Amino acid sequence: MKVFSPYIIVSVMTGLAFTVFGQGRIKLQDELAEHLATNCISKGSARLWWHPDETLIKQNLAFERERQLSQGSVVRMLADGLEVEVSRTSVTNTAMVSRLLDAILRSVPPPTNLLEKALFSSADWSRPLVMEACVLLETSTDEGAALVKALVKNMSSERRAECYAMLGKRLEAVYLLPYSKRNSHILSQGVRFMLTAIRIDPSAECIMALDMALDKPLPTWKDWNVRKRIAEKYKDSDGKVGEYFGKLAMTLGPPPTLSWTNVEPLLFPHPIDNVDGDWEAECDSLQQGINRQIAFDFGVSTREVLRLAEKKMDELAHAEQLTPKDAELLGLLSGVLWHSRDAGSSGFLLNLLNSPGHQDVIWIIHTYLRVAGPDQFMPMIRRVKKEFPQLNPIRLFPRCWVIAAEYAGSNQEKTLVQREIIGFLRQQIHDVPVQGRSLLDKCLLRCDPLWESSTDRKRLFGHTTP
Amino acid sequence: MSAHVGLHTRCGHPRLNPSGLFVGGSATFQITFSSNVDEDDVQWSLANGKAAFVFGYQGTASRVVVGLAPGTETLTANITHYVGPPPQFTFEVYPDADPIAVHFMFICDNNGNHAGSASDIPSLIAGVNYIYRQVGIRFSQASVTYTNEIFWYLNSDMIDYQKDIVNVMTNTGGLEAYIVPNIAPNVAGKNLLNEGLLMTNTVSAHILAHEIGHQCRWEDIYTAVPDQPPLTMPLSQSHLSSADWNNGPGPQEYYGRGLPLATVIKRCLMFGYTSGGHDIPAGPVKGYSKEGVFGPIQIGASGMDRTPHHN
Repeated sequence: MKVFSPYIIVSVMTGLAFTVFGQGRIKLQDELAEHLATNCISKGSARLWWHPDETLIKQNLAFERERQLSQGSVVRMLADGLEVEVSRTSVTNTAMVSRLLDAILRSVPPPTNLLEKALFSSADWSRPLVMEACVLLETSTDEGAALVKALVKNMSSERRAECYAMLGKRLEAVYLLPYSKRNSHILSQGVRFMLTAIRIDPSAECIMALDMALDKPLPTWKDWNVRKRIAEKYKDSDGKVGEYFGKLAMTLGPPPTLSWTNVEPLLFPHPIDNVDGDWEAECDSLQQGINRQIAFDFGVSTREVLRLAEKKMDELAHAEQLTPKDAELLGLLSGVLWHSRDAGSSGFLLNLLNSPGHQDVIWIIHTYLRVAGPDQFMPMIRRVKKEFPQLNPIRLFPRCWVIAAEYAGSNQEKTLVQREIIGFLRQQIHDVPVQGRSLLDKCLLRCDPLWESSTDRKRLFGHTTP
Repeated sequence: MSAHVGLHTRCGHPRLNPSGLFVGGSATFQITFSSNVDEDDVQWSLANGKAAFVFGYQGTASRVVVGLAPGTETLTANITHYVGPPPQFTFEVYPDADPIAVHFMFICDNNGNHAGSASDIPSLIAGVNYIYRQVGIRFSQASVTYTNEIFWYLNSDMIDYQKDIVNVMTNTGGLEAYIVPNIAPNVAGKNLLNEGLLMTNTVSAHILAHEIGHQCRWEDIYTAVPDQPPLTMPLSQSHLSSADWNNGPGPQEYYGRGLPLATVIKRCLMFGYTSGGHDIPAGPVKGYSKEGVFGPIQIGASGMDRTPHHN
């Protein structure tokens, strides 16, 4: 069964012939046509894009390898062909565009901006299809911010508002289906994208379109603080925008203020207990995402959110007595500051160091070193050595080494600060008990290009890594 | 007819959709019938001869079945005058197999102090076996060792040391569990994929079972994640595999009407918080992944690694 009609193949080829091949294109056209007809057949209905199709990706790779094409050529060719198709103003073959999008989406591990060119050149009839595909491919950690920024840069606010509205209609149609038939993937992707757009898009008209679009597919939208805040912000705008948000503000009431009571249920991430990669980076990213979300919802900066957490920590640290629940909360707050890694916490941590109360002094030092940045590393180490000689070095220093190695970087050229940090690590390896040297050695190998073959290392470890 | 099906746990709560039992093991299935269904109206049947009833096959009371032979079995409750498809439960009867060895190591300070206690381990393993009998897997305590390493003991919450710790025992052919004083604030267990697992105590079978679950290639499942709406919808057929749906006609039968998807997720072993339950479904369940994507999460018997081990 051929999924692509000859017309589609020719269309695709027309697009790619000029961009990719030049001579010998006829033979390659035939081969690609054969590849598309035999391999790029969607097993399910078209436009049910759940996951990249591993089989198709392998077949594309084989096709490219056999013809000595660079990796990704097939997908690029399809995207070029798509760009030609969607820009046609007189032909409205939506089935063809759907099939091309299907083949592309099943061939590409997201995220990708592969379809953005096609989106900006698409005619009115094809834009909803391409827009939906772009949103489906947006699984990057920036939650669609790159796509929104590209839209803002390349599209007028009127057209963006149209795009948001039609995406909203599509999501509403999906949401209204019975649960068993609902495509939850597109629903969650679409909602996530629109929440990002409402944060970034500068146009009041677009915000109104987004608010309307979110109302149906996101049933909890009415309860989000950010909606109340948006209504409050735009209620005095001119024209229909002001009218719309004025009514909404009356219905929703004033937005709640930023307070510990309102923030506490939202602040703590779920634990990550299955490690298959960079655990610390994963936790950092999760916490920082939560901070951004709270800031967005309450209309404040992430610094203000963290200031609230710091205030609570200060209160707990200096409470007369800590209940087990308070101690648990203090532990959770410690995790928040650690993973938020916000330099703005430096001042708070320095104050806490002067009066730690129930808070662990070593945790304060480590967190300060982690948030304050490379320039503050050695001054704090010197202060700690002078003012806190009673601290157990076996607990104090290992984490300092890891932070030091990160600050010293893996680059060849070192700044003065980085050289000083490496000097600290080199000194430490002589000062610590033998069991501590293994981690120090790893840290030095990460950041000091001269360490591996240094006489110091040979003297300490012989010729082999401990 | 309002009905749900349950395998009774020791706590007395019904476990929904047991995915299996051992040959010689037993499971209790229960349906809650509406008051107009009489004792004589209900005839239970087992299709494949892999399991048998202990106390007869007629009546509205719960049924106890025992596993007879390995294979897939289907239990049906045929109800007179009931027009919908009969409630049906597909489950596996698992052969008795060698237990998977679990090696324990306590990380101690210079004086031999450590978290947890070796004397807890037999009951810990028993608790884990109770949970994993649903998928026909057993575990046994293979060894208990101690290591005095003050740097690890004092800094067991550092990922660099955690990676060193889980490399102490290698190629044991089984699972490797390390008992440490700290992992992260308010985290009691952590699995470093293929390397080993860490625990801060020796009493929580749920935590050990959950971490072993990760080594069986199961993922954490959540009901809420940042930036995404919480799951407030009632359970529906599209959220479960057909093996977990019990032949129900919908919208929710044979689950309790209005039962939220979030409640079912929270009952599962792989719910991402320590408050999770012990259920292991037959197939994936839809929920949020740790990346915040809503979709089918692999937390069930199908597709699991049945011989989990650390390298």
